[in-house]
Amino acid sequence: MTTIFQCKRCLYTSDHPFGITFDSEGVCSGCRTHSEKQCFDLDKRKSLFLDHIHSIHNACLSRNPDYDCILPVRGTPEYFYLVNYVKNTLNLNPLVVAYNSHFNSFVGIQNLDLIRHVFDVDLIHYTSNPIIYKKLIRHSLASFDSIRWPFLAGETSFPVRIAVEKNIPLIIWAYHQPTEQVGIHSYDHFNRMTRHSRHEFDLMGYEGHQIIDVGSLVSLSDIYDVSYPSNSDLIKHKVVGLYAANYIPWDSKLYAEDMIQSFSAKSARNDRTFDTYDRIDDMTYMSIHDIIKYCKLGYSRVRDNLCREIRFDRINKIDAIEAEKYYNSFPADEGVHRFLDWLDMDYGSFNWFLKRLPYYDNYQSLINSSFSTIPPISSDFLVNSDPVGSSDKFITFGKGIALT
Amino acid sequence: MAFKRVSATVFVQNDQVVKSYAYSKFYPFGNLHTCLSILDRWLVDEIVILDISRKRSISSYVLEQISTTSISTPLIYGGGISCIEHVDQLISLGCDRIILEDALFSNHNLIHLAANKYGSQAIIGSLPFSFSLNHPISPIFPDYLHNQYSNLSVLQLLDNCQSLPLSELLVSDFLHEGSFGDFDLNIADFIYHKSTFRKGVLFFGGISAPIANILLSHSNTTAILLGNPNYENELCIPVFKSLLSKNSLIRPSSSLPH
Repeated sequence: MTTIFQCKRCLYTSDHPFGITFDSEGVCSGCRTHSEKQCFDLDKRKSLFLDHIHSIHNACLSRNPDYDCILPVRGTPEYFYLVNYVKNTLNLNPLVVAYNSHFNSFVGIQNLDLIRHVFDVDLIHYTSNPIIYKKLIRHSLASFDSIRWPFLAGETSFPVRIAVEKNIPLIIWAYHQPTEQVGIHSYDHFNRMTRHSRHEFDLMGYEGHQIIDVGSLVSLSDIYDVSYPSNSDLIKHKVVGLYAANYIPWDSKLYAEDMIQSFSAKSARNDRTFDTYDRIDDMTYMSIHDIIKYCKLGYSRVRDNLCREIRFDRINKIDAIEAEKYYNSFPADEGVHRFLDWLDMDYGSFNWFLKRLPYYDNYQSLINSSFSTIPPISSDFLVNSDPVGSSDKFITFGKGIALT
Repeated sequence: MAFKRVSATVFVQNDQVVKSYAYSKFYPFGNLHTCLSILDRWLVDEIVILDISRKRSISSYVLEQISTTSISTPLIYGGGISCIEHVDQLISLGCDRIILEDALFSNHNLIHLAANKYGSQAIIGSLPFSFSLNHPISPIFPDYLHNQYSNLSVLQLLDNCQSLPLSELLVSDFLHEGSFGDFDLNIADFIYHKSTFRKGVLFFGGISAPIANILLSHSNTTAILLGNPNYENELCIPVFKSLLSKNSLIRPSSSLPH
């Protein structure tokens, strides 16, 4: 039996689903890579960023004259920072794109509308066929024990498809999640977006064509929206995806608060975390998805949030452990029922599904434990909107305006 | 002119794919199955799996991943091979060739046994060595078991390799392994001009396109291996191949399948 051990600094353990390495001092690769952020020479990195952008532009002589790059965004405050940086610091004209999760919260829709408005950018919010999307989510839940596969597949392929279709060779992604969590790449290596990384870390090892299945009725035409362009298309259009976090020391909290102050970006409370900026655009993320994640992997999103805070020295490990237990104990029943109604699945079936997962018993004991109603850590995260789960239904289409 | 290969190196450590830097710093990069599948789509000339867990056995995880991944790219495996049964197991799973490192120093019998059974074309030796500021004339090579540099002479080892039934020798610049463009050309010079080794050489460790063109211009250089850049750049090897002198390559980067 493999012994599971925890990083000396943060909360991640040796069984992290992305893979993780530990050095001789017992510190994980995520903490080691994160520490590079403290040594960023901002001027040098900005100049490198511009050099890389120019070389990508120069390699594609017939690129689209209307846009300099594609910016994939979500309706959360940190993406304001990305758009602001690209538009106002790098002086590029971006085409902003977002893939519709179908589970939008009101703040998420508001934020997307604000991004379009305050930065005066063109924004495409792409929505896949809702019937097909629901079919893919059913398949994802049954086959991968996750409801996220369709969104992640669409979110990571749509910007690349647009890049190919519109002949815009440069895509600027905010950050590379596996690097932020477990330090897969050093920031000095300036890794780029790859099919390999998408396949391994976003899609849980499954490409669209692998889910075509008679049992779930997923057909070839159903996966078009979630399919990545071919290698020959990538070569022909010289598409390159850069990560902004390789050039600026990405700090979601700092950036979100800057954007809340500067552009009134919206923040909101989620039951299962103290972080009022992270994933507030999606009503399922911190409810049903988070519970499934816990039952499947033994930890939930709050650990990701806490590890980031530990690494930025904004919380100590002992408090973080207490905070993790506290937030993991929220059952988020309302959000679970909302999703099950949407999927036409009854609670009994869902409970049967959860019981199959390896950490179900731990989850049960956590939600049955009696924790104080006061969080163990005081949070200085800003809140300027109603809670993420305050609306009765998911918003599939929205313009960011509340009609009463 | 003999045709040359551009191959991908995949390091495995404790049952996960890792990016390695000078064999001393490691970053995780997911599972072997995905890695092999992606490289297979790139039309790399061969894939070299090196298990650097420093165990004298072959990981069941690696064996399982090799056996369950359907690829058409030739596969070479190295790491932990200490007996002929290991070689049998790898060849039966579909590995085309094997790499032996420890056996070069301590188990010539294994090399002879494997070569007799599968032919010397299936056996590649491995010799990591570098020049350092402290050792600018005589190269050094690492003794990983004792965590120090070995006292053995690289020149003597190269001469020994010539007489062993090996088809090729994998030479990695271990001090620059993981970098891009820092490969020390003195290593090639040392092999080709100072030693008596005259078989094919595969070079690895910080090789950029200009360096690759210089190395490939020598008739005994049979392959260039790339490791970490494969994880950091989309279609790294096809793009890399497009920067090399095309008439020397066995499979120039002209088209990609899908």
